[in-house]
Amino acid sequence: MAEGKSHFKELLLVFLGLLVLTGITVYVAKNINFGSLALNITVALAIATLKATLVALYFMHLKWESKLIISFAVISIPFLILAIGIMVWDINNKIGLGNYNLQ
Amino acid sequence: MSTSTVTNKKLHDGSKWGNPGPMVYDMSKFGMWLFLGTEILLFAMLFTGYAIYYMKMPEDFHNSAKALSTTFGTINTIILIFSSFTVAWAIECIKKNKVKMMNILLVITILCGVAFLVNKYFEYAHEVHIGNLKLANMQWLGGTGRAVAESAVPSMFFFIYFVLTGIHGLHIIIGLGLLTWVLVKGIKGHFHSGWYTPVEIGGLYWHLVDLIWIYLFPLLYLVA
Repeated sequence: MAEGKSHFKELLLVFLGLLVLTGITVYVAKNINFGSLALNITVALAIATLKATLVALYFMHLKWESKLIISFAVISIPFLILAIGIMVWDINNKIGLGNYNLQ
Repeated sequence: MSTSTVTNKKLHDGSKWGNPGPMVYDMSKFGMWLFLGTEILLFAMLFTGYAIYYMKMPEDFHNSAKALSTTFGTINTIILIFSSFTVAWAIECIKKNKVKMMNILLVITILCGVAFLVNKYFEYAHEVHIGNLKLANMQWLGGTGRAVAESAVPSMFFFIYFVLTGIHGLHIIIGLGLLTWVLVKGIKGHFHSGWYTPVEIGGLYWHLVDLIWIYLFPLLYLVA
């Protein structure tokens, strides 16, 4: 059951890394403009994804998990992107954001 | 754990569910990951709503988000990351039979969760005070009539803000309940290096709450 190995050092490093990334994302959002709102939010989400990956890999033990759980988690990601992407693309493309009143 | 303590006390190993402890451990973890998958789907759909309306009115989102305090958001982010760390640390402790340390870390985690909710309460109180809840409510009701009379514009951003943070807050409350249950069992001495499945599963849930907040934070607080 227990792997017998302590991951404490990794956990501490990940915690510090998450703090640094939080600092970076707040600093970037406050001080740096990448030119467009869309680009700014993309950068913020990229940093968030990096943080989420760290949490999943280390805090949620995905790195040391069995192949079954790892493949389950990894295979889900494209489907998640598909679910969000297709819906947003569909609304954007078919209805036409400019002339359809979503309210 | 020494043999004398084992004979004195009933040793909990999860086998009361009809399977050996290690098997219960593996099955529970996979079951929890499946459940977390559905949780992520729930939030994915909410994020989709966010994305659609963000593309429709980026300027509106941009301006509305300015009313939120980044300081509060950042403090809550740090609180959640720290509590996630302490619960992961607690699992490392119980793997080495350090029950007391695990209990202390679980208490710290629970206190962090409560601190998050207290922060959230002050934020909500502020939003209600400056009228953003009313704007969200007007969006919910259709945004006509009174909106025109009071020359206020219903806000889709605040509608999404209250739905997202509200459901996330509900998850915090559920997570706190789970962790309290784990802590009570920990104090009773149910866990040892051979049986800590509830700690691990409760921890997974708490990490999910943190994971979702990691995305909520930039989407709601940093778009300004």
